[in-house]
Amino acid sequence: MKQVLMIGVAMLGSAAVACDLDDTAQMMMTEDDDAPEVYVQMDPAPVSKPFSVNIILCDFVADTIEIDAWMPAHQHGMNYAPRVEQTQSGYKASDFVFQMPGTWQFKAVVVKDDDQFAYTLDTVAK
Amino acid sequence: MIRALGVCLAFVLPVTAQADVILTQAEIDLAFAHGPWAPEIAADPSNRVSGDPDAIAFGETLFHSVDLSQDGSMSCASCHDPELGFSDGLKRAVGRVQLDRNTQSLWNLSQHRWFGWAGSTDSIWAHSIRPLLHPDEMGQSPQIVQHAMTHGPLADGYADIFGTAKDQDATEVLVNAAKALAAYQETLVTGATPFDAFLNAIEAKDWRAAAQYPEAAQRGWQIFAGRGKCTFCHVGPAFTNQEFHDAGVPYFITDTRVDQGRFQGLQDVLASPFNLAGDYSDDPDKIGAWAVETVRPLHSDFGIFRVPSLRNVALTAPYMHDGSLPDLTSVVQHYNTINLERLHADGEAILEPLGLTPKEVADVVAFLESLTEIPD
Repeated sequence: MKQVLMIGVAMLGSAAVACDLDDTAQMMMTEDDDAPEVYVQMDPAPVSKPFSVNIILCDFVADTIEIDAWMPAHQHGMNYAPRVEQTQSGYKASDFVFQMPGTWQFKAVVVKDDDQFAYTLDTVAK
Repeated sequence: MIRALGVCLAFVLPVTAQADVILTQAEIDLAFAHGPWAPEIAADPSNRVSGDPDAIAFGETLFHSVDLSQDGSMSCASCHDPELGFSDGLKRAVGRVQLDRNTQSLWNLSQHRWFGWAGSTDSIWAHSIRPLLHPDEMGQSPQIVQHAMTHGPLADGYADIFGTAKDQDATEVLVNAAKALAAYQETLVTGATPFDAFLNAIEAKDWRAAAQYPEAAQRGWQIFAGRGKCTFCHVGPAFTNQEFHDAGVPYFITDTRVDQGRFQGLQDVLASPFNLAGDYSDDPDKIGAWAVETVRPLHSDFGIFRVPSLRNVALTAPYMHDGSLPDLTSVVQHYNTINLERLHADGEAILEPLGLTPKEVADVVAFLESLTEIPD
């Protein structure tokens, strides 16, 4: 059970990476002041199949990243907890499963020192 | 697409056929999310004999063998009767006693992530172990399975694939037998249906063939994918999202006993030595273990059940986890007049009474019947 509780959180420590974005990159929305830019790179989300996304922090080093997703219209989240790992170009979050077609919303929290920044990004599974 | 369809119909087809394809382009696009069929079946990496012809043949022999039951009275096929859609036609299954749930069919198992109504296992082979050992079903022990694989008519078939059973650990023999059973069950794939023929005809721009799909089934699809919201759960080529939902079916087995559904199933699979994260998986990379490693226990798991595939659904009455609905009309009526007081999922706001007329109910039933394969 401890394993499940740790899922979806990456403890980070390496240097900032340059903002190397591809054509699929979408900037996550935030209402927090001075929040660094965070991008999600992904192929179109499938329905009920596991998939992963790349998370890019532009020129910023975070202490932790948490990411999850839910379906606002249905008021439910995912049945699985995504796992985040550090990669050469940023971070990879795996084991997302959108169990229904429709609009889902990624929710991410980036923590650096005493600052915490919240982000969202809508995407459609079909 | 629909504009192109209209042009083609206007110039090629007689007027009667032109009126026979009634779906909009958006409805056709949604339908294509449920095909093509049949999907390619990849070998299960957790089962080293998956796809092996000898194991498939031996698995079929095991499936029909009464030597796998404690008293020689039943085989897998006793409940999963090929003549009854690999089910039994009963409201609730009967093993050594009457069981709590309806017998699920065994078609298209490779399309699933979890198995059984409660998802108590995460592979076909692990799910094949469950009835062998359950005291209310076949009531075996690993040692008795080992004996059956060492002596008598099953011994040679087992030895040809797995080696001599008497030299192996009893649990290993049990798992091997289950993997042969799984290899056979993976081959139980449903054939093409009128719905598939409709999609294929549209893709091939064969409008005359497309117009053969009954209008009632097309109207039923419009409801199924539209205000019925059925495709939220019955999605993809197998018409299931492979997950668990509250369908508003009571989970009381008796006045004092409840079926905990996914709540218990999840506890079972997490504790099982046969799950895909365990040592009995043959996959060194444990590819399939992601699900059992990341699945979230939820309050809403209590009393919910796995969304069944709808392929060949017309052949597997009665319906729902408790077999409480005798036919497809009663299933559609259940959702049509669903009692919201029975829904207990945490705030999930999807199902609501549909207000379908009797004709619309019949249309949805016609659509569901069109998901059953065309006889040879």
